[in-house]
Amino acid sequence: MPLPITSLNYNNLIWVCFLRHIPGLYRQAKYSPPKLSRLKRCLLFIPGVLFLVTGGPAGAQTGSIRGSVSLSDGSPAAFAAVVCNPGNATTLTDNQGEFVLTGLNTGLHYLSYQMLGHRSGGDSVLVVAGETSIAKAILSISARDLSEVVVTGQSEPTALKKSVYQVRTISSERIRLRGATNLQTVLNTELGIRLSNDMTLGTSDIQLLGMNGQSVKILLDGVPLLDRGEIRESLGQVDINTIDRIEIVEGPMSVIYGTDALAGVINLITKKNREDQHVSLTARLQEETVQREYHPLSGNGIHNQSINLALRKSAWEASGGATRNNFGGWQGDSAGRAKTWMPKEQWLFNASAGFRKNGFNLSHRFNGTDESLNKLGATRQIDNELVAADKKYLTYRWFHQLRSDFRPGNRLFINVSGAYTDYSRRTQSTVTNLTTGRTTLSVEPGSQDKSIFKSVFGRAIVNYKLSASVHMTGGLEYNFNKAAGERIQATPEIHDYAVFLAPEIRLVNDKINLIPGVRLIHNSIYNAPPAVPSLNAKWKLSGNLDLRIAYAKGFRAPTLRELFFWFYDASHSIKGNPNLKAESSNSVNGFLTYRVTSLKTAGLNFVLGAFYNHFKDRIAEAQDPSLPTDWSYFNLAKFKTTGANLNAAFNHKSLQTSLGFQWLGAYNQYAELSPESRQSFEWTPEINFNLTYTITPIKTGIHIAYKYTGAKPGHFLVSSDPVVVQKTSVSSYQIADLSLNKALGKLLVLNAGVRNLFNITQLADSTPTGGAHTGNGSVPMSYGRSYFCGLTFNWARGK
Amino acid sequence: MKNKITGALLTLIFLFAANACKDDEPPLPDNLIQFEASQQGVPETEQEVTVKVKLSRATEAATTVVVDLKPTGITYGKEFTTVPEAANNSVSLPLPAGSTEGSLKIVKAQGVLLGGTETLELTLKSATAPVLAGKMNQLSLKFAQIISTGSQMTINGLAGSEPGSSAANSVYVDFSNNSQTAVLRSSWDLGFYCGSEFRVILNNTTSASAKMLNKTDLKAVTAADTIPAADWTVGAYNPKEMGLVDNVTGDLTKTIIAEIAADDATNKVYIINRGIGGGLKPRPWLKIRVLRNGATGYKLQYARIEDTTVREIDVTKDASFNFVYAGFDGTVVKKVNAEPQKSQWDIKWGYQLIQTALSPTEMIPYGSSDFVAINNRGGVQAAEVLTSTVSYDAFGESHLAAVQFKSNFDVIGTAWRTASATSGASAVKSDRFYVIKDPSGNVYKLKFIRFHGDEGGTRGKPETEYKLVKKGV
Repeated sequence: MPLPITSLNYNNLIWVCFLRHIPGLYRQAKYSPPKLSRLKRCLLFIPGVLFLVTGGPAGAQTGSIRGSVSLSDGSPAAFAAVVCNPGNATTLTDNQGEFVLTGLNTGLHYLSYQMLGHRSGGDSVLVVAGETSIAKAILSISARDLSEVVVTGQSEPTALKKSVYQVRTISSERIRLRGATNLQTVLNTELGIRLSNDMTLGTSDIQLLGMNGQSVKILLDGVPLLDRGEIRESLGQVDINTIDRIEIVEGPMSVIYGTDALAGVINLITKKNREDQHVSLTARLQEETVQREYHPLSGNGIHNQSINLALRKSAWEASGGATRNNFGGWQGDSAGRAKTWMPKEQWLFNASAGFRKNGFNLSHRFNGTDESLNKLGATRQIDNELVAADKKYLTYRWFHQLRSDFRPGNRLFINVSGAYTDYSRRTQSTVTNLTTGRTTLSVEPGSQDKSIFKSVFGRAIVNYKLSASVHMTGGLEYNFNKAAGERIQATPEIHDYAVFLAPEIRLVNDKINLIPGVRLIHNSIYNAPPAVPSLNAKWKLSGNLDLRIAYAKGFRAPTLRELFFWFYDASHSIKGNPNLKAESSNSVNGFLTYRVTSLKTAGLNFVLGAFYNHFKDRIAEAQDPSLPTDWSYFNLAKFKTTGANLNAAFNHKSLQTSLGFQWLGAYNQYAELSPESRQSFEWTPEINFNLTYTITPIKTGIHIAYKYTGAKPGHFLVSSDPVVVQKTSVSSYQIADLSLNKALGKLLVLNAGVRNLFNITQLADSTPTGGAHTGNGSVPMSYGRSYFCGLTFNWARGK
Repeated sequence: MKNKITGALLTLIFLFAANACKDDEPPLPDNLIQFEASQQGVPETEQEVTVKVKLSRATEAATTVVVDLKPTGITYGKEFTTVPEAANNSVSLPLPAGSTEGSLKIVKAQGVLLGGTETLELTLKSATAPVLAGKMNQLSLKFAQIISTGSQMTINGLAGSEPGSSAANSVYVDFSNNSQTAVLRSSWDLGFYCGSEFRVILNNTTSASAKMLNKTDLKAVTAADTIPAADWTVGAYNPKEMGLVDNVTGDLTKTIIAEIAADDATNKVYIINRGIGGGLKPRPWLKIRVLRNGATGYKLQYARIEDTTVREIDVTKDASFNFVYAGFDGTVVKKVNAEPQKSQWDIKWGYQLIQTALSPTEMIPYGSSDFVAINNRGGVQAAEVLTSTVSYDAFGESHLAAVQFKSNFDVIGTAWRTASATSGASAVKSDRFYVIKDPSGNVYKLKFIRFHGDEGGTRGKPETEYKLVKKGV
């Protein structure tokens, strides 16, 4: 596929072919416009000769260029800068990616295209007097400026600056420099994000702006990832080596993404095969200590191996790979065989195949997860024999994604995506006789539980450009969920149908962009909210000052567990409630972005934000009023979060830094029980800092990620009659990671670093303890300070 | 080219998948067949005795177990026979697929009087693979009341595949006879006291509750009298529930059903919620009225709430029992063997209602799993001994003087184990054991071996060991 330019003008076609065959010219012209003047002088002679031969019109002295610029995925490159030399004529492409330059002197011109987040491109075009030459160019995505382009909530990749939604990104560079083996490590130092760990189940959940994981939508390339319950386990079951960048939207996105998108959306964007590479092979080997525990290559510590192969042939592409994450666990305070952090063996597979031509794109992607968490029991002496009871949690997640884009006309863009997930989690309980070494399955009732979840997802989004100022975006979505397991009644099936509309309206010379949105839902089981509205607005106050204001309603459909749970034993009588309705929220937020443009070589910008979220009908476990011995799920609680944040980013040459501050207020749910004595919001401050510095001569990069999270106040109901509420607090903590990257030759990159410099393992929690389900006065955070060292191998062959 | 790509990818995936499937499924444990104890007695009064062989779990296929007999002082066909029949002092027991136990009946010949010195040694010779004979593969059957010298015993609390914390059985254990009797907790609804007082108890192993109505005519009681249901609700952690159940310590002067008066007109109607404690499904409620039946027993009048047909059953006191029991079976109440004779059990294991503190000042009824109650009404006493004082193995008759026996029902209770919701944290407390004086004055020491999956065991099937410390006089 010709990369930067194809001319359809007959004359130009000849010229382009001719120019391409002059060694070195093409490349030089592309990357070094200033040198063109020298080339131009010798080349200008040639068209003159040709004109004489072809008998071109004499007299007319100027001509035009009409061009269209598209992105590597076939979509138009809207508002790309076009510079034409000589003459330095400049223009912007329109939202179709098209531009026209008129009044150009005849002769060879060099066009250069620039668009934020994309590699600059350019080529030569011959301008013929009185005629219009055609130019076409495709801009590929630039690895360096990737963070500046976002896709979450957009019908097509959009410059961050232009997005009506406030999107936060974690760039591929930061993910790469971090040397992380899982996504949680990367997210851990983000403002507003807090991770919690369940030591019994070996799972970790995410909190976004004070809301737990079930209110956060996790997407992989815009397609939801299935989770079996309230914990966003999926985040730990995605291969970080396949992730290019992470986009985070705070606040509800339920109009576009449906259920769970209450607190926000975390969209994991996978790496795309590069257009200019035929074959590429990436491999990674990383060894990491788990605090002081480490054994080379296996056992204690973290051992990560990964390999990915990508192939491309004309319009076809395919890739595949596998990653092994082996975590040896962490002994911590546990004695003997038992470990505080469970050992984990994880295999992550991916395979994809795609076809892309003339703006049509069809691809299939498979992600497989095979995970085994190993809970080792303590050694016990039973009747003169040493015995240990162990559990393995075996998880399989087979995730298929189908995606297609096509544009039946200039104004119409259609995106269809589908997904199928087959997920199972099995508890395998075994008894090992340590004296004889024999391991057998436990025969205790319920000890070999297996939960199965299946989901089908389909979504079609249609984007139609009604006029220059109205772009219609609408879609249909279908979700199917099915579950089976010992603690789930029967094998429930849920069908969910949704229609949504979110047109973008541009007013006042594109200064104001409005997206009113609405989603209509029908669900086969529960009473879905009839309509979910939203209104997003972006106001370009000046060239470097943007204001974004949003109102949105979010919702969370009751989970299969909340609807169909069934667990009765001596101390539990819990059943699901099929009469639940969705949790919903009303949110408003505003963000003011200011870019300092007066600095010549440096970039500086500020984002000031504020938000208020009111969640109602939150689903909570409570006694069933009709049968007080039973517990069930009810739409009971409400919750509010509010806060403000300020982010500053400063870039100068090889230095990129950002500093953020957030003040998060979480609602005190007991405030209404006796309002006079308690404030309704409890506040937690957070500060984060990121620094990346590249020392180009020695091909070395340094990355520092730091976050301070203040003490998290909470409340504990000591007695309900009379109301006695005790104030509690989870202590503050600091996370700091430091990493170094150094290129060794062309193929290898060495990285090394320290994680969790402050050696945080657990946080003190003053919540009273006691009873079967309460904590032990501390919240597990991490296994402490650890060191890592890894090698990345990158080999690619272009065309 | 495409084919090559696909081929390469498929190979890659296959290799990784093959690697990933390395988690071989461990085998099930050996399915062992064994006797329940190593000694069993046949009291002189009994004409026949059933010897059970227990499997660790249900058989997958039909299995045959061969038991060899070695009689001493008696001869097969003369003084005794067996069902099924023996040939050459060897019995083949056919166990159909799905069996969890087999039984062999030993029948004394009519009119034969045995002097008490005769024995029958039973040996588990073989079983169809994969079933294997377990450790307890020999049983010595004595034709007399035995006083066991000790044994290991797995208490069989599970009736099916219910969770062990809500095991469906109450299990009565008689140490001196090496015997256990499992009774479904849901099999009975009322217990009629056999002592001098006229008292009726509710089922405290199902968390049953009752409330007196100011009525004496059962026919006048309708569903309207069951409102509000909260008046019969136990298990919602409300302190007022203490007033809906019998005194949890077993104090017969504090039962919900007032002492049955000689004067019929005084005896009111009660509505009984049969209880859902310990994972039981809700069952129809009852209306009852109990009268005295002379000096020897009780007359129970009953019906379902909506029924206008009132039925009656006479329950006669039997002095060899603490209580005689009756349970609903459909619409009819029947007498139920829910507790062995009071001289024939020492401890009872299982789910039962006790009390716990909701707050420093409030108590609530609380269904406790794995609870061990002693037969204090039958004269059993017990004491806890910490191994810091003397070890289980070392404990002997000489230590008895220092033991302070107690008669409260919860001497053992659940103090012998830690049950935790935290996975891996549940276990028998190995720092203590118990000393139990049975109704005949025999003293046994008892230790729990394991009770939970965290120890590699099965909850609902606690493993115990006991030894005779001192024979009764």
